[in-house]
Amino acid sequence: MKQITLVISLLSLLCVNQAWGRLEDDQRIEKYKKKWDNLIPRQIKLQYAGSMGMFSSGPGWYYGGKKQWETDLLVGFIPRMNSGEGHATITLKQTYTPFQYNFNSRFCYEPLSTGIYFNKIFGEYFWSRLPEKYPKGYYFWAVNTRFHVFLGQALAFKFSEKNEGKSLSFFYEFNTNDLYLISAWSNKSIGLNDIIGLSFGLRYRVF
Amino acid sequence: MVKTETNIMNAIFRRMIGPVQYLLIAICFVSCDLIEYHPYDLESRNQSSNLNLKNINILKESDDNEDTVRFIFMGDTQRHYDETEDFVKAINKRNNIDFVIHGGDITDFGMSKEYLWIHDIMKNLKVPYVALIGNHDVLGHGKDVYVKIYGDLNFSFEFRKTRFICLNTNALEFDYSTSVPDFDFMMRFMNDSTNIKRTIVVMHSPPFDDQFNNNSAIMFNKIIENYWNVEFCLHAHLHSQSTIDYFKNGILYYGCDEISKRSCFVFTLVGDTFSYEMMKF
Repeated sequence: MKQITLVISLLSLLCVNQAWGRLEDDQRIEKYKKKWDNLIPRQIKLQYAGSMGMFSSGPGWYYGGKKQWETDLLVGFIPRMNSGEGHATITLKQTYTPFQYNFNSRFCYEPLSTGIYFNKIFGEYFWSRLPEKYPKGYYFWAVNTRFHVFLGQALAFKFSEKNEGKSLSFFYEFNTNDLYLISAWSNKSIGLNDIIGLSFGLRYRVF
Repeated sequence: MVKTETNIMNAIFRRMIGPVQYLLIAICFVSCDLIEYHPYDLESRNQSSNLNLKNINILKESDDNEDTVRFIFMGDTQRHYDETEDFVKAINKRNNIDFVIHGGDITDFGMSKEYLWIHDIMKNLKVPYVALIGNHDVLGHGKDVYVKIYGDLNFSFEFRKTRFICLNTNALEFDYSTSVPDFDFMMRFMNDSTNIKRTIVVMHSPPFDDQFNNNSAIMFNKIIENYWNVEFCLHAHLHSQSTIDYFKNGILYYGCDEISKRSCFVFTLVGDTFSYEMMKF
């Protein structure tokens, strides 16, 4: 008899626990959903040139108190490369925009945006790990991956006068990559104008 | 509300679009050279093409019946632009040089811009130059850029009755669809003595190097032995000066210093003999 009482009391304890748990679970699910919601892309970028393809485009996210941080994942293409064959590239881009000036309720000027991006190109002759045929340490860099730094400006147009809302901005950037920097580093004859490239782009913020 | 919005939009258009348009056109005009789709791409750039053939033709025009041939052999410019500039200045100070041979490794990473940087320096030479392809020049799409700027991977030219045969020997960089060394090309000159007194064979990687197709080394040597009066062979790639008789047959292979050591070979061919010096700059 004692054992039965023990089992019943244990079972009832479990039930109470579950009832409490359901309430907490709802809140947790809500939190969980919110976290996942952050992964919904908030902007789309389209970029021309910039050593990442002819055109690159893809989703991105902005965050931070002043929306000063942006992360974009771009997919690009080069329609023809030297001997004719085209190539696809993928770019992970991190942008930092410290200042934003509002001309009026619709136009916003971003005098400085800077950041880095990794670009990877796909193709037969582009490897990231030294192929087996070479002796160890034959070439020290990955042919398919370039590390870029950039500096640029942007002009944004808001579709509504509210702070939150759709906006379209035009930006341009000067960029250079790791191997160009290495080349310029040890040579007086290679200057900044030799190693920089120019790119243009559009950024559309969905909300 | 709608009306004011259109008014605002019109005002914005009138005020902004005009100047922005002109600014954009101006930027595009100035920046043609700044647009880059990829470091290994050359499609979006203006560049010289077929430089080797053009320079060989210039050399042909200056061909005469004189007996002496004096040329420079250098190589491995790679990332050493300052030294290459000094090299060009030093060569331009001498008046007795006929032409320059670049032994390969024009670039370090095989990127298009590096080819253009080196040519921008080398084009200031008062004498014509030809450049061979090195293993670094093949990387990525570098091979295609070489073909576009300089021309065929294997080429030959004659100057004052001396035949120079320039070969691509970077076998490690190619698969079997490209013959390296190209025996078909090499055999064209076998037992062919038409109008020439001597032959000089130029390559980037010497035989028995990692880069060379060593399975073919014996055949390679057999063909060279059948060339008309082989004076010697030249190669770069090893980055330091060397003189080796690889096949123990009396044909010497001269390897040049990399350009960063600020030295190059000056070869002088007179009659049946030749001499060489190391030129420091």
